[in-house]
Amino acid sequence: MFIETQVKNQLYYHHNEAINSDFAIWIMDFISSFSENFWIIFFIIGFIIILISFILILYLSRSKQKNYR
Amino acid sequence: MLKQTNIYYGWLIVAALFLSMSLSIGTRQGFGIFIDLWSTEWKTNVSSISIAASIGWLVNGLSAPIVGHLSDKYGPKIILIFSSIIISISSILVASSFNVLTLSIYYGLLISFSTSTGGPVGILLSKWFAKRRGVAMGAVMAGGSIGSLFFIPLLTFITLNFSWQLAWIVMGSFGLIVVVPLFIIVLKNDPSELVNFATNKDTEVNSNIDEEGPLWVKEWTKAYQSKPMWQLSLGYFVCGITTASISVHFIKWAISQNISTSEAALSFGVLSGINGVSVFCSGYFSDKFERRYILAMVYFVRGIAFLCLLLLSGQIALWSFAIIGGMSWLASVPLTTALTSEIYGNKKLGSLVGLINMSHQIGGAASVILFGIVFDYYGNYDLGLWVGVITLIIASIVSFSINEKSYSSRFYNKAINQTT
Repeated sequence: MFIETQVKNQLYYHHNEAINSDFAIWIMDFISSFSENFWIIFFIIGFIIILISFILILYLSRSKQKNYR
Repeated sequence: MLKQTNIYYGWLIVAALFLSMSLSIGTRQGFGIFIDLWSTEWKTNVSSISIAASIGWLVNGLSAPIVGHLSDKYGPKIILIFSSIIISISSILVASSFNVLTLSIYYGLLISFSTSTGGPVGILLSKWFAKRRGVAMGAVMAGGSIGSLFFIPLLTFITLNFSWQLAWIVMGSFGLIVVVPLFIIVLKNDPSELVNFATNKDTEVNSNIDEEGPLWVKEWTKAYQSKPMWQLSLGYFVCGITTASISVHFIKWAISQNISTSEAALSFGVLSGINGVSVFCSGYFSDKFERRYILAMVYFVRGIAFLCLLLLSGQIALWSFAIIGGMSWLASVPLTTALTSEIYGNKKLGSLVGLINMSHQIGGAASVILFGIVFDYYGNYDLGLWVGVITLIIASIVSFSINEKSYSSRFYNKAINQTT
């Protein structure tokens, strides 16, 4: 009975694991409560930051490796 | 101008690991978003889909020592490259899942096996950092918390506006385009791979080369013949008990206190945000003081957070727990890894970190079941929370009693130098 209840109601979740299904419902509502444009701008900014970091890490890595040789 | 920058190469490795950690933890935490969609589309129930998550959880715990051992044998770089390739391709394959079996193979088996990278990450950072090891490990772990704040909304947004398949393809492609090339180009197993490292004046590299300790092992089994390994494993076991139980039962606890699901979920989000900062700070302070003090404090603070759930009620308990608990949530990870590397050396660090991680997962599994039984029997979580408080106090005392000054390479080397 206990295990059945556990499995029905929630997913195992840990530091790096799947999130609680209640949280999933909440995050869906949360995302829907903002406009599409807001999220598009948010993600574009995020991707630009990731892209700049990516290029910067690669550039510095190559220049550092050259300096060591 | 950039060529003249004097950034230590190890920080570029930290940056690469930060990006990969943000992606891998973000993806795994997003798993729950898809449950209802899958159950509707595949005409199955939630319990069947949760099998994939359960398999993933078990595989992740049991594979940690294996991945760690492989890292000891072949070096962390190649293991991390292969892991990132498998995670990326498997994420794309998840998009082609059409039933629970295929999901269990792609997510439960392949992704979960490849994400147990605590060992190789620990080795890599231990070899590149000595004086600022805590900060480096904390910064990488913070990537997980910060990544969740970006990737979970991204996954949700794509799923809501397009399809869940596209969400997984985007995540997999991101791994292949960003993480894999970064790992191939940036990661170096050891500072010695940079040819002229010996002439480098950076104190991080030089202090790392000089490291040694009285308990440094060449066989992982030898570590279990000394006290610190048991002390670290016990602390991490308790860490598993307290984090897993809360992660699974927190929202149910909130409902039992007449708190809305959305407020409970929001407070858990706040906890994750605070955690991103605290995990970095704990690493920073552990480089300044003995790590055992910070580790003991982390468990003690978490004990206070548990006590808040017991002694306070309603929303005050909820938000007190979110704020105080957030200060300690993932902070034990960099501290335990750093202590293990300094007490037992880098030779078998992957295996040792993997084994300690396994004790963490076992503690987590046991507590999830225990908390559930307690709730079914008593109708509240009080007994389970008291177990949390008591075990955290024990973990705090045990961590505090680690004889770091005698065994850690940080202090052992200084003592030797003073003697000679």
